[in-house]
Amino acid sequence: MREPDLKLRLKVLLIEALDLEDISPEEIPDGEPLMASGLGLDSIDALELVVRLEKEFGFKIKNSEEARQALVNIDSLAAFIESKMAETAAN
Amino acid sequence: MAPVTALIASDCLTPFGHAGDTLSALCRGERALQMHPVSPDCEDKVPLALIRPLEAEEPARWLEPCRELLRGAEGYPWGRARYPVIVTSSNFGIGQLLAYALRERQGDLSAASPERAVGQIARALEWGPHRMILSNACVSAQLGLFHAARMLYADLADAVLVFSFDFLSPFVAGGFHSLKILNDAWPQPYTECEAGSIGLGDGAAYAILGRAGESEWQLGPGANFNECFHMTGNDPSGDGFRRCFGSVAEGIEGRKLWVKGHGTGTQEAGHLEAQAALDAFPEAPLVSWKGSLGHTLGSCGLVELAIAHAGMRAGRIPGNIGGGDKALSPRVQRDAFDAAPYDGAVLVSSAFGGAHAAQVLLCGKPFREPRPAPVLRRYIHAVEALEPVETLDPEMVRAYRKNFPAMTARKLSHLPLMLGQVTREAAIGPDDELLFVSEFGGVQALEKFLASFPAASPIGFQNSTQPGPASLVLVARRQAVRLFTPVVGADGMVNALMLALLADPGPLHLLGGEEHGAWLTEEQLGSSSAFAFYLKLSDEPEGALGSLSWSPGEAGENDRMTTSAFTCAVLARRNATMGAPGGGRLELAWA
Repeated sequence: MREPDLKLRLKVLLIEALDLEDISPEEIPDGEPLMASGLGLDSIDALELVVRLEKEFGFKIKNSEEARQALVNIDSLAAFIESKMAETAAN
Repeated sequence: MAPVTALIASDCLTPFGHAGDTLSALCRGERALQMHPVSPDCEDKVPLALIRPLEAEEPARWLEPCRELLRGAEGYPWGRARYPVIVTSSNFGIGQLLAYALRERQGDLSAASPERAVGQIARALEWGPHRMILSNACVSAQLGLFHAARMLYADLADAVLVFSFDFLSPFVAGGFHSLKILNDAWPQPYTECEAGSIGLGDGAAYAILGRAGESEWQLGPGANFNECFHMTGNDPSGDGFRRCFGSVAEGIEGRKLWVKGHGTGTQEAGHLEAQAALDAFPEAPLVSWKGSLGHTLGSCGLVELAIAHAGMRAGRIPGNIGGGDKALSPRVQRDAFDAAPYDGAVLVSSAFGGAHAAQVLLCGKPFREPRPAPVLRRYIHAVEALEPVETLDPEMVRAYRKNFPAMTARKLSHLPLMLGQVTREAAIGPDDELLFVSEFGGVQALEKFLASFPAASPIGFQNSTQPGPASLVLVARRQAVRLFTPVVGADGMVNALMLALLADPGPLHLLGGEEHGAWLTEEQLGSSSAFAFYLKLSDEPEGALGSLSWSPGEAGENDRMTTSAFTCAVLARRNATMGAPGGGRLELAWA
């Protein structure tokens, strides 16, 4: 099932998990790369976000490669979460 | 490059037993790793190779195995004049600290820091006070060997005991699990896989080093390079691996060698290392044993040296264990092989911060000594220091954060911020040496990481891993250095000054400080003030602001010099004389 505000929820989570005090959700475009040239996060920031996502959504990301694929941008992250939730619902 | 020394004896302890038993098991291709839960609070199963069950014990689970192993090194007055002990680890007492943080059992604190953990072992074995504690993540043991060689070469020791131990705990397993590289797959070193994975292992080992020529076994030349490109990744160009392998290759022309690589099972590092090994040693077989023993972290360099030493003596070398069909290099050697055709081995370790270290183990004809013995005097060419304060006020924090990109600065605790401030104008080069000294290290980061359990924080793990505060500054600036040596413990300051005098000619940067903790400070495991200092030293007397020197004879009144007292002496440009570790005196004198 699609959660209408999932992308906003993810942006709020990202700001909280990484203490990005000076950034608001509106300032994070859905398609902007989260790492390097985009928001400027590094791979450790991404993993910090993964810990928060696992806690929030109750699933596990298996390895760093899977995390990297999911965390390209907010669009890819939302798609990943939706697929994980669908997987959970199917089981 | 480190001078050559004699390897008089070595041994290790792994889940298979001592070096000989471990060698036999590895030659049979056996795997010590088994799937275990990460911790009592996290049931995810990951590959761990344990000597004893993972539960926190009192006394600590490593104490008795370490005592048992070190009985083999008896017969020397260890810790007394001319017989120093260098102890290394990447996680001294950290399991006890987490155990205390989770259940507040006071007894867990008795070994909950590098100083206390090493103190327990020293008391049990009646070592004297001439001890040095080094910790640079997973190249810690290699650094111990490197500096032992320098002490011997300077004739400040007759023999040196280098000892390293890394026993796992939920702190370490939780940290690596949070990085997603410790997962539910078996590690496959040097194998093309969809996803990388590592295993972790308990391990302890020692080596007794003597002067070149005192044994048919030699250790050296050694090489180091610290990319400081990323805390948990490498420069994708492979430059760091190439420089380290290349330096070693230059020193051993004409010898037939095999290579024991770092080979944890991660993909990116595996590719880079396999290629660098192939480029530097095109004919040498390449193996890793971490697919069986797991990664024994700061001790891996010494554990694997002891196994290589045992293998060369026994005539049989274990192959690459756990690897799959798609090897990353044509030189990956899957099966055990005959040692007889080889003169020795290149032994490589790598670590957080893109640190790389290599040693050569060689039997037979001695190497030519690479350089003259050092003159134990260095001149001071730059000084910066921040006066001790109880803690940084918000205005200071804001000001010091400006030395870093905003996204990096927000993750830095007070000590790296102060180190950034005192080095903001330091001209550090990639061929320079850098010494970092802190009695307690990044205690704020440590407290934050401990508070994150049971959901271990990756940022907390990265920042709390010694030598986090200095590494974070170097990595934030992408500032590579050739040799990076972090010294810890109560005698860290005098030990660091001594190591500064043993350095190669050329620029050496000495950096130190402490940050104020909260509950760790209340438990005397953290500093009660915040400060930092920086000195640039070299062998060039002209234009010097002062000097640092060692001379034989009696020490002055200041027998002990803390990082705080040293910072105050630097700020006031006050001369100071200190008792040197192992005898003689160290003198700080201003022009």
